[in-house]
Amino acid sequence: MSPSSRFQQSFVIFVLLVQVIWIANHMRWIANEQINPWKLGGYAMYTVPTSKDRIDISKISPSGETGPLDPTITYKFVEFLRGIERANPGRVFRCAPLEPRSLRVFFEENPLLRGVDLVFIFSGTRFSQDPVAMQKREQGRVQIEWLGDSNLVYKNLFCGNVETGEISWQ
Amino acid sequence: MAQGNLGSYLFSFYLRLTLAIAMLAAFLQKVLAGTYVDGTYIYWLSMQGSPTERLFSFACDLSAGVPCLAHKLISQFILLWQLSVGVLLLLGIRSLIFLTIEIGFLLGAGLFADEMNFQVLIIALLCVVFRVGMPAWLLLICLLLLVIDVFGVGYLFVEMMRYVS
Repeated sequence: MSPSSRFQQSFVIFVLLVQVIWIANHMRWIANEQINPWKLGGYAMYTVPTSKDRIDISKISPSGETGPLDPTITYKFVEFLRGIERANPGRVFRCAPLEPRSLRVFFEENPLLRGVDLVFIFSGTRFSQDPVAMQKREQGRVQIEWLGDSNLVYKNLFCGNVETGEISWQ
Repeated sequence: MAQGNLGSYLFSFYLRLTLAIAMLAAFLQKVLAGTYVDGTYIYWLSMQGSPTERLFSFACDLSAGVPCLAHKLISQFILLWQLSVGVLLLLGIRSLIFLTIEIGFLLGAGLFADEMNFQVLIIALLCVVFRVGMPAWLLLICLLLLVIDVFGVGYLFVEMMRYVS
């Protein structure tokens, strides 16, 4: 067998092995509910209905209670949602934290909300076998606490992981 | 084996194993989810799915709240079928019966999901896998399936029923 033929054979076997490893990893992610079953190869499509994901934003009062944003004010989410889509398209990775860049864009789009403590709640629907139903379930949340007019600290809480950081406008 | 023949053989070998791996992976994912073992997914689709996904709604009393035996058996049959297709592809057995099982699975899944374009692609790949070329009659069927796919089986079925009634 010529070296070229041997290379071709080895390459095919290598690609097949990569596929098997990828599928094994895909199964691990699915078992831990870390990704959308319909994505990244979609090997688990048609095992459960598609999740209807959403993001709710509430403000946090000084006493720590959450409440709705002022309904008389119009908010912009275009660049914020675009940033989320760029960083994690379709939120395929359900446990991925929200990037600080997206938060920065959010407050630049909505200067009226600067100084307001907020919580971003990421939720989706999950298929339940007993009872057979689609149930709303929180995937994670991001808590925002302002320290003065130009600094905030954020806390990403997704899938049991906690990640904190600070953003400042100078 | 000549260089060209080896390349052709390797390509069909690669496609065959890729399809087999994908089928077996889909089977394992269904077992992992458990929704086919207990029939809950088919039961759910029978209530909430698109018109074609409600294909098996006649088999059970949907108000019961739990999947009946028929939905469990249908789900487990789908599992077994997918496993069989994966194993047959893995073994590379060229037989009319096995090809019928494989293409039957594809068409059944395509009808259920109302998505024929993917099935046509896989049928074409199967022709490469088994190195048989696509006969004219199969090409015509595939083209017909693609035309049906433009509208969707569900839409055509609803329109047909409207016309009949």
